[in-house]
Amino acid sequence: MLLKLLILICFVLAGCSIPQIVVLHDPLTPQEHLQLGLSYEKKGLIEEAIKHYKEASKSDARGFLFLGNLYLNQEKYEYAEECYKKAIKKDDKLADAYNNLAWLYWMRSKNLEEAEKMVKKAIEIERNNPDKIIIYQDTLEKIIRKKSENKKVMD
Amino acid sequence: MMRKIIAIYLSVALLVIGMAQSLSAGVIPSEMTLRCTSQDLEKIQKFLEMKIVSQRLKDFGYSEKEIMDRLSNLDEQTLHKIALKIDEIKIAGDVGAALILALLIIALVVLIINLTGHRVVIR
Repeated sequence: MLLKLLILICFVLAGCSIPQIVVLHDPLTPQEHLQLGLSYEKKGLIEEAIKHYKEASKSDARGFLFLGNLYLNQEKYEYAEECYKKAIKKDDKLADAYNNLAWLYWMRSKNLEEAEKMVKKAIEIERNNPDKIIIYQDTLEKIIRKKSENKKVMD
Repeated sequence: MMRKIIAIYLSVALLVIGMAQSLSAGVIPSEMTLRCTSQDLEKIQKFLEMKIVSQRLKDFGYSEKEIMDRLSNLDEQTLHKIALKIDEIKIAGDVGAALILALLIIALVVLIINLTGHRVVIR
């Protein structure tokens, strides 16, 4: 009886291809995921870009920053805000994330106090990078101007 | 009248251009963070897609020579399409295989129970 059963099992297994377990390796570094994601984003392959940014974000805070930029371009502000916050949480020296979140707050006219602190932090981090300081300074000036305008309206 | 229209048109145009510039001035774009240009990305893309496809073929047990043979015949466009779809193919294959395996195991269990003299009833 048992022999019959074993023969039957052998026949069944021989007739089927046995599924294999394949371990898939990620050949790209986080930097490469960001590069490929950005290239896809530029070509309008948004889903693919998101996939690569998410993959990069597992070990590189810039993944969240790039996701935030992508959502900002798509005017999905809440997603963008969430991603910038995650980027800052993962790397508190990522000045661009502070600036872009501050810019988002300026655009939405909200959390202007916090926005000012953030952009000042970005300026402090990148104090030796004049190219970026110009942009951060621009963000700071706009925030200060909007704050004083809001104050005038309140008065 | 014509002067008035031109003056209004120019003021609106200046306002729109000014707004567009001020909106784009404050955000640090991803290219700037990554310190690369669109031209750089274009060149890098092909290399990275090649790397992805080559690694997948390696994962599925192809030799270095087979991988080289297959990749050397691919044009840029085909390589791009394969790189985009390669993980979908893997997922579809896995689900199908898992389903077949699960059905096979169930069938074998039912068969063994039946052969040992018991009955299996699905209620």
